[in-house]
Amino acid sequence: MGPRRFLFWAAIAASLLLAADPPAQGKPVVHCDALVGFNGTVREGRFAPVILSVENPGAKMQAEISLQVTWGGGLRGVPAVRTIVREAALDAGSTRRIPFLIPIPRSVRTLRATVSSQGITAGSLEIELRSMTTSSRIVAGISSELSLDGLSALAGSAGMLRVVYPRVDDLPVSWAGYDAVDAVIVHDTSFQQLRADQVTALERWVVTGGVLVFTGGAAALQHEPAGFGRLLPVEITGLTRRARLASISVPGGSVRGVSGPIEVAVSRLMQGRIVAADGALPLVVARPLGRGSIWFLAFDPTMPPVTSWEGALPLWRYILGGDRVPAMGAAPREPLADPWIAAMLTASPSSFPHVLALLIFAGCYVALLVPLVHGRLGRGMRSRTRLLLLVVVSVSATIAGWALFSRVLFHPGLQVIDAARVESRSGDGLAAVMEKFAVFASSALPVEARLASSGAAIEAAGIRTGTADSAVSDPPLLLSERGNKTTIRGIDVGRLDTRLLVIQDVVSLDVSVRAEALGSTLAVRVTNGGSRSLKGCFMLKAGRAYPLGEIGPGATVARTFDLAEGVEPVDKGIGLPDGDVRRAALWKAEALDADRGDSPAQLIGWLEGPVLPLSFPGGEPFAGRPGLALLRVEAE
Amino acid sequence: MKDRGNPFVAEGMRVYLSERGILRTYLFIAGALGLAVLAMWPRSTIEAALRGGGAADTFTVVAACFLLFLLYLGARYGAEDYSADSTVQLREYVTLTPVPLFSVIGGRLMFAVLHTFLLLLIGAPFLAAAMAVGGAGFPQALAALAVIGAASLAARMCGLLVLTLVGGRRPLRDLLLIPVLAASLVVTFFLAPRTNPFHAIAFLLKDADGPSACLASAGVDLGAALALAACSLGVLSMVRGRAHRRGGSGE
Repeated sequence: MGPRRFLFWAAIAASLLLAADPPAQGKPVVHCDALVGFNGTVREGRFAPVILSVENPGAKMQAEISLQVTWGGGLRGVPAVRTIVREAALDAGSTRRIPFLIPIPRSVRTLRATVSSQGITAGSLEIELRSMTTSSRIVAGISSELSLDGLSALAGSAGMLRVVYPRVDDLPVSWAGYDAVDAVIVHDTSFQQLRADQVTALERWVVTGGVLVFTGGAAALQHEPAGFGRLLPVEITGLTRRARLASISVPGGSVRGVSGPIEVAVSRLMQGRIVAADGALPLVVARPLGRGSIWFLAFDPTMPPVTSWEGALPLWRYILGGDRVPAMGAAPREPLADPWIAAMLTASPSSFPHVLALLIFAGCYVALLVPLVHGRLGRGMRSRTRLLLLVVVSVSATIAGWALFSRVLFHPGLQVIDAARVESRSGDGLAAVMEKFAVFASSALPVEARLASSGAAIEAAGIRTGTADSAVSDPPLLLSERGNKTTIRGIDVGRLDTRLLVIQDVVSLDVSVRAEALGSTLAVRVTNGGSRSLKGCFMLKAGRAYPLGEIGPGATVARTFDLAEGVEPVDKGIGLPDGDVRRAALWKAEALDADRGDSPAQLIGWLEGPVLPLSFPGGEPFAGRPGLALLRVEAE
Repeated sequence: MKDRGNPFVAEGMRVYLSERGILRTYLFIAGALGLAVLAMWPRSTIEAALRGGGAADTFTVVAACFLLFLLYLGARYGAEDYSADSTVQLREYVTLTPVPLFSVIGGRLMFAVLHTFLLLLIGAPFLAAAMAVGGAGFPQALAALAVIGAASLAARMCGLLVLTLVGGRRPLRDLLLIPVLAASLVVTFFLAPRTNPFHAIAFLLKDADGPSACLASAGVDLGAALALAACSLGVLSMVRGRAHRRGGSGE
């Protein structure tokens, strides 16, 4: 090969190489990695936390990070999609961990993460979720050693139980991140400190029904420095060594005490009640918080002699015996199958404009037309005059018809039905809220919802009935999270078909309720420390209602009732003013099991308007009535 | 609307706004649409409608009735069925006057457009009343009016073409016009649904791109109207040519 020919072929090869591999300069490139669930385990039918690690070796960039979860084949094989988008600044040469919350439906398929900057994809990652999914119960152990595996022996009729050990850094920052978990057991944190948002997430998860257990022994001294101080039901003051412990009595039987030398945390009760004690030394302490509970065991169940103690499993069974309702799965497939929405619709019967109105309108229009085209008046009319009058009459009637039937008598725009349940315990300062929003319109409309918070558990339902997209069984939700605000898209409505949005979150609620039964009387003292009026309040005790009326912001009401004066809450109209059939319907739909014979007294009241900070731009309350929330506060 | 420049527009103004038979058709449009909207008016509660899984078809049915009426009336107007005695017959114009043929057809087309606007206005109040309960917004209502107007115009030009071909021979004209129109609608509904106005109306509220499909159908109908007008022009030029030849040979 001569030098010319060589140069020619070298030039061709160089140009081909350049074409195949254009210079990467200018195109941002990031590396992604994801931690899904707890140690790579997700539970089907629950929400799961995801931490996306994005390493940016290049220059600083403003990135849009999206996570897309697909599941199901749906009808005609079209999978459902949930997309969560978040903006983040990625500093040069840094790695950023970004937390997300994703749903894990039973037929979950894949998770795809995409990082883009200015419309250019800088990195992506696809994860097959099916292999990570389990249907087992999950207990999360915060421990430096895999020392809680013995709890898997608790598996029973409820199914398998798996113990996972998340790193402290990887603990969720939103309460719904713990949705997959039945209990969190804090043994030790290896002297690491939790961030405030992680502690708050744990606290709020307990409010929604979670079980949090702090174990004792020497490791208990780490709990307060780790940041758990405000959650602990006790103040740990030191350690002591005992030769044996007193027997522990739990419902279902009493077990002999632990024998053998054992280190026990010395503590003083701060909140809750002592379940078992050895003299003045609390051994088991329980603190109810919202719908859940926080426990403290003064001994270390992972160390001998407790590991071989016959009472260990019964005690764990008692502690973990609660049945937390998961955050996911609250939205039925058909919005109108939801009892709250059905109750609110039935209680606010709203009809299309009456046919009589149409008859009058049509009659008036034809009556104006007749003289113009028929009869004596029309006979001598000039063509131009007739034309002008015909145009004026028909245009006026068109405007009148639109205004009458699209504005005055009927609202074709977005209608919102809002019903909520707010549950709290007196003195907790927090309440678990489940709020359901059904939206519909008489014509097809794009719908956007704006939630002024982040970290809530969001679900949507609605089977599209239009011919174009009947294959989509779950609305393709798009959640855009910016700062502390979430924009929800993908719940567009067709002509008179409904979408349901179910949002669960934990909010602050300052209502204290004291109820004391003294002989044949019930003394009640309620303080509303919040900014909203509690309407139609009554105390519920053993299925009987005792009226309190409206309790305004900052007001305190103290009453003493004769227990014999209690009445049926719905039948006698207590808390349900005349004509407010919505309250009665919601009460019937939701609160039938509100009062069990052995449950403490509850304050029942009503809040008007949305409880969660959610708004639908352009939406109007259905039938012109604001949303309704049923409030239940368990008395101290 | 009155155009002194074109005698056919002026004649249309005079005839279509004074002939009792024609004026009665306006009342018929209003009355029949009123009955249609009354018949289709939803009488249930919102809850029942939501459970039923869809809005009432009030708007669709009223628009389809409106389309049907204007197609029929447009064809009859085009064939001068309602104005046979009061208008100067088309063939007489062509054969006895030197008026340019383009002016004849252009004038008729121009008046047809204006008159169709008037007819749409007469029926519009009922469409407006049916909008909210039928689930239609402004885009859908305007699209429906566009497709109804364009189809009516095409039917009118079809009537004009049949008039130029057959003249005043009533039974033959009627036998030709309505069946041809109906057959073309049936055929296009199944073979070329995107061009069919009834198909466009039927799917206007069912498809997300219903309004654009309606506008496409209206575009096709407008094209058909122009094509039919051009055909009428061709037929009339043949008629005039033949008349001139006869006149020439007579001389």
